[in-house]
Amino acid sequence: MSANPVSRARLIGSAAVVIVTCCAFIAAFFSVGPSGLTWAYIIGGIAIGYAVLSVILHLRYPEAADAAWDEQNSQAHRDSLIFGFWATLAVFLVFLSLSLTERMDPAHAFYWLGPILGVAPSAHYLTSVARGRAE
Amino acid sequence: MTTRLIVHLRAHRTKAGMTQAELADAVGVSRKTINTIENGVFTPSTILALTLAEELDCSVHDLFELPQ
Repeated sequence: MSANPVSRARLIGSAAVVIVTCCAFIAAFFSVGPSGLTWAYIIGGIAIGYAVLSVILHLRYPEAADAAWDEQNSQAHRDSLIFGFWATLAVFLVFLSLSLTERMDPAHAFYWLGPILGVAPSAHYLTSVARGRAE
Repeated sequence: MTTRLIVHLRAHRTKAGMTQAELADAVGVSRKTINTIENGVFTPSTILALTLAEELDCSVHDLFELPQ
């Protein structure tokens, strides 16, 4: 793991969001665990907590923040946002077809698009880190 | 067009007696970025290439070259 505190927080924050969202999907699939609203609070709480921590670290370690957002990491971040857009669009189309064929409740489809929109860029970024293309 | 650069950064960094982390700190990027440039995985911008050359006291052409 990187010695850069900003990079480390970004990696842990991204991993936490991905893991919790996957847990929420699995729990919803098997209809176990807390309600969807509770999962929304957990996912949102982690995301907001990471955002606050990130702001503090950027202010506390400005040079580390510059290095953490150098051109390679910025490129990986841009790629993850592009992936997130297309992933969400693809899932939207799948959910739309499921809703139109009455195999999915439109309210559930709308609800789950939020976590997917949030988790797809983070998942892509983690993949970039695992491939050694970001830190 | 995608042309893979021939990179001599590692040789010049070693000659300058610097570690990847020291060079990364000197030019304001992450150690991973220096590592991926040296391995030819990531192609740096013109600005970063010039900064690296300045830090290692050589020209950009000493650090990078196009395959013949």
